[in-house]
Amino acid sequence: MNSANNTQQPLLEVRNLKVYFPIEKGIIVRKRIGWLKAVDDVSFAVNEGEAVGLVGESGCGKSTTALAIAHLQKITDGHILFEGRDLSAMPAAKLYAERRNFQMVFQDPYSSLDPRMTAFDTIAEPLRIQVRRGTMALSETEIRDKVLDLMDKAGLSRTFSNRYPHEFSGGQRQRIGIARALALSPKLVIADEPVSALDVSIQSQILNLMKDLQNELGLTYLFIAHNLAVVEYFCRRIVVMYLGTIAEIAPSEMLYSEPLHPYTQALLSAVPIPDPPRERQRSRILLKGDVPSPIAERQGCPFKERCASAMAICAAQRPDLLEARPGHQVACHLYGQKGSTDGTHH
Amino acid sequence: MFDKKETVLSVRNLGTRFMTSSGTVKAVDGVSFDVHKGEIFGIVGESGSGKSVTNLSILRLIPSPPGKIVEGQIMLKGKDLLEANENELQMIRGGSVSMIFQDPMTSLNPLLKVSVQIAEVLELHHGLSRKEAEKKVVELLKAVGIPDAERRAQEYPHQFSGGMRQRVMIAMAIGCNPDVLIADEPTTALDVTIQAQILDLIRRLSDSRTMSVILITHDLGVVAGMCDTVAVMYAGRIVEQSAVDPLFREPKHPYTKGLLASVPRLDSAWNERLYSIPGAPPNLADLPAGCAFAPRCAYALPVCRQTYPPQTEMDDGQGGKRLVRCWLHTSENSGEQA
Repeated sequence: MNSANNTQQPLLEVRNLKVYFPIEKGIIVRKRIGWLKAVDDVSFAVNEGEAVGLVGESGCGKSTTALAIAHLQKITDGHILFEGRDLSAMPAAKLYAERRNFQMVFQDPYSSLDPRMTAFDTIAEPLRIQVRRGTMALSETEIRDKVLDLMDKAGLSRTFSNRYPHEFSGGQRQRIGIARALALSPKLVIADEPVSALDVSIQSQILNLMKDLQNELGLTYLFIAHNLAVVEYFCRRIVVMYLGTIAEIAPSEMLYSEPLHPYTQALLSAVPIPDPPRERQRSRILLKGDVPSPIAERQGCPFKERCASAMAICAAQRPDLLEARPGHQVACHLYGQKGSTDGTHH
Repeated sequence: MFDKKETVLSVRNLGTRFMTSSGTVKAVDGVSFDVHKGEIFGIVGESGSGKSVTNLSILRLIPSPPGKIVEGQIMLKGKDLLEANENELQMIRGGSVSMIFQDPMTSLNPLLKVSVQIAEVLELHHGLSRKEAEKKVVELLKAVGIPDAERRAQEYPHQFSGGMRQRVMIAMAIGCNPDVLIADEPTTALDVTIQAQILDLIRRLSDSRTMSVILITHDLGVVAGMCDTVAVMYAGRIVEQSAVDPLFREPKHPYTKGLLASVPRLDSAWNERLYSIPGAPPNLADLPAGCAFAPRCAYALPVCRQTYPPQTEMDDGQGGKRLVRCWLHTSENSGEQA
């Protein structure tokens, strides 16, 4: 996928992923009247040791993509390959063993922890499940050592191990969530908005922790967020989604300095920078209107109604995600799509 | 910077407490600030810093019990709101001071058409008939950039998107030409491209109507782009207050400094380690003696843990003054700091 890594097999590969939700009508006899296309033909790869960001606004399908990869959401079509093994075709029992390789960290540290489980039990739970299933052989003492070690790694004092979630602050709860995700020594951590529920001063503590853990344990991250500044800081490569599709994929410096897709350009220009003189000088691309409904049957480019550079072809044909330059892919008719009438309008 | 301008709202030594089972929570303590005509005044702070309670106190919207405004003055054009009776307050709320909130969906009545909800404000405050009011509603919806305003006025809140709902709230808020618009995290629930649209709208309305705005936010980027003056709150107090440029260029209070350094920025280099303030904000029911930030502060002096620092006035380098509450910057200690 990424030309720089052609020789290496990606850790995770998502191929033509589609997640559709049926829209039904009727009280007794439910009839399907349409589809909500939450994720519509999405393909990308994540290499080992990389941190890849998945950004976009609410409803763009980034969280659904994450859930589908973690197999917490049934997929409609497509393939998810982990180290080349196709998870989507795997029987449930085999998938169970596979799951320890990819773990999730969730957005809300309040609702993602069981209020009646202590920090220790929460972190130990994944290990105990694997032991119960016979896929791991650990004694309670070994589990204990491992949990306490995880608490150290996540920056939680060992003396907190018997406390319940309500006794922790938001930042500490997210540390518990991270420790739990790391319990099975996963290769891939899928973090869905891990810092957006946290205050600014706590957010940087968690981001630093996740970076330290990446260096220490060689983790690979798929980092989902709506805050572009956070993603740009945390990730090497960024996937920009819009209305269930991928608009652009680029290394973060390239995406920031030279965004190609008109949507990415608008998105970046809308992010406020905490620097008053710069902020006053910046020209903002104000997009017209709202994101269209994902329910409507669509033709052509998903961004066409809000795009200032829309051409005739944009209404007729959905652009493919093509490489515009090495490592930088964009789905836009402005950049020499096959069969498009070359960008004479811009 | 705004000294020559007329002061519209002046808050003096405001103190709001909540009596809870775990003790008295000092949600707001000794807060003073002035808002001038046409100014956008930012209040920035983390959750629990008292920024929302300050503004609810201004409109006397603190539920009592358990809340109570225990001291201070809130002067709106020469009148103390803390001494106003309920009838006077009703005329001020939505009249000369109006408010928009974070979540526009919960602020609108889902059972009433948008036009009826906006018209209500005009009927109540300006004594317009329903017909006259509804005519004005369409004008207001146009002013806040809602396309096809005649038709949309007849729709219900659920038919609007998040950004459009916030526009409806703004239309309702500016209906009576308020002197002050209080916007409490108006864009936190919105996507960044919609946030840009709403902030642009608030700024244009403030300019065209010389309306003062109190903008409450946790986002320093929003403050940088929108505000003229900013107050930074921590644990119920304003720790630093200044015109925006000097504050961002050279933050004086260690908390402001830490906050600015811990935000990932779009224009910062990749892989730079973020600064992070150690620890967590204090429990407001059990504040430490002295400065509330001292336990997390890298520069804390022995005195910081004993006595709350007095307010120090400094020149902001552009003809105005900035205020800091930190022992490092009081006249006795400022010499010690390198």
